[in-house]
Amino acid sequence: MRRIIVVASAFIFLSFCAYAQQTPQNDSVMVRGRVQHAGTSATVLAHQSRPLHSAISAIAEEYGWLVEFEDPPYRSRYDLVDSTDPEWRANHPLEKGVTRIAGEAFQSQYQEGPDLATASGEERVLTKVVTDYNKSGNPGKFVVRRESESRYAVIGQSVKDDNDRDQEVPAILDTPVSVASQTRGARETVQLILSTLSARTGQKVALMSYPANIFRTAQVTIGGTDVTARQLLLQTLDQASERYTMRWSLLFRFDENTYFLNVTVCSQVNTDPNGRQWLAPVLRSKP
Amino acid sequence: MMTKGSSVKFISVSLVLFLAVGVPVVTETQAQCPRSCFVPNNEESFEVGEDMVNREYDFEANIWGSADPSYSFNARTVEEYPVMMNGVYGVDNCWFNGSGFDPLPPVNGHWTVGGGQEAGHTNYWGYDEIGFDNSELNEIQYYGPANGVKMPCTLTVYQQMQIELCVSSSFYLYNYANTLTSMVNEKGNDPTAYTCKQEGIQPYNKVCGEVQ
Repeated sequence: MRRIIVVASAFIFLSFCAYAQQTPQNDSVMVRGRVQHAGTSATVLAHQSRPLHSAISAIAEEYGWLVEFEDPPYRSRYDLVDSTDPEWRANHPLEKGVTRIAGEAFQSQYQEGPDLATASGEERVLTKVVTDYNKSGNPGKFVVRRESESRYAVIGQSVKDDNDRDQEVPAILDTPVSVASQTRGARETVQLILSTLSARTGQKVALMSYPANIFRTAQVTIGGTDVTARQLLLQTLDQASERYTMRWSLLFRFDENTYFLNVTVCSQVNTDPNGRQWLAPVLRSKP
Repeated sequence: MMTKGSSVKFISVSLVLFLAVGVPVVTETQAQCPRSCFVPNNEESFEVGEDMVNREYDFEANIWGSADPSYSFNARTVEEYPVMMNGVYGVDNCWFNGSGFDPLPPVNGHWTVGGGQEAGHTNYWGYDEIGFDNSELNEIQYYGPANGVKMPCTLTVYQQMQIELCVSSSFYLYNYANTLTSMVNEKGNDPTAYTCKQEGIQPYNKVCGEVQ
């Protein structure tokens, strides 16, 4: 039995290595992560500088879950690597190079079962994946936080310091801020929350990508005194669309010393009998 | 923003349309389609202009059925979402590993035909914002090349369109699949440094019963 497990593990590992090697950098499957099913278990595979982000996004899309992802602020040489393109370097010998987070391949296996349709099943899978990640040697340590009945956040909890020791960091979105209650556009509201958060913390936080077609017309009435930025963002997304649910990823970039907020419509992978696949938006349940 | 009249361009290769066999009728053979409902089999999209604040491009689209082009789809909801073609949801050559945004930005949206910014415009829906926001453009143009992005870079994503049937919450997939392409050159705000287009549609006739 032990031999079978060893052989099976080796097969999965080698398959993943082959997959990682054959997949070009911009192949969408690699950059999005992938969930593979086998019997009663599933394996999530990811291979980019933020492998946990990629894995969580793949799982969220596989099951249509609402899961936020938040980077910790990676600043140490133990968490970052030089990613300067050699050709660019040759042509720009005097310019400053660029870095990226030092993440590599990651995979996690979990049991699939009927409980995946429940909040406890979702929490079980997310906790397993995050626990595996925290043991993987990849940058950062993360925790799973339940935000509401069916909403979770995977939040960076620690990074390496300059002496290669784990250093706990607060989640920046837990910072209380004050924003006047007023009706504004969704995009404008998110930008106001983030600029207020930046002013409060001294750390730049900016809106990067968002569902333009929704934010363009959505009006929201948001505000409060000493309310966490997270709570204000959740309220904004809740009001921005009667049809869609949305989630975010907060990605830290050392080169720009900035957190970037990316908002996306929560979607679930659908496959028809012909194998055609699409990402169907997860619709809000009607009251 | 450019004015609508001056900027509406037929997107050359881009557009449209086929199946000159008549307006398809979805039959009532399946439980989720309790009554007949006309659906379009043609769609044309037009660039309306670039929003110079957030840099995304606006498109509007016109839908019709071949057998009765005057049939009005007004008040019906159309919706777009990502679809996989040849095993991928798109190809994102503007994204780099470690970027501050996710690769292959998903295309999502829903509109009321003849409503919103197309109020009073029969069988038109929109505007559909396509392309990169200013923040993403900055990231690509300033940090992309050093991270190995070859300029000009191109993002291609695939989307499909569905239209609400006469019964709310039932939808018919009338357009599979659009190809949305954005191209970004190196730094600069020259309008030609960044372009978007939307092209092609393929009919997909299998969501809700047979199409006649």
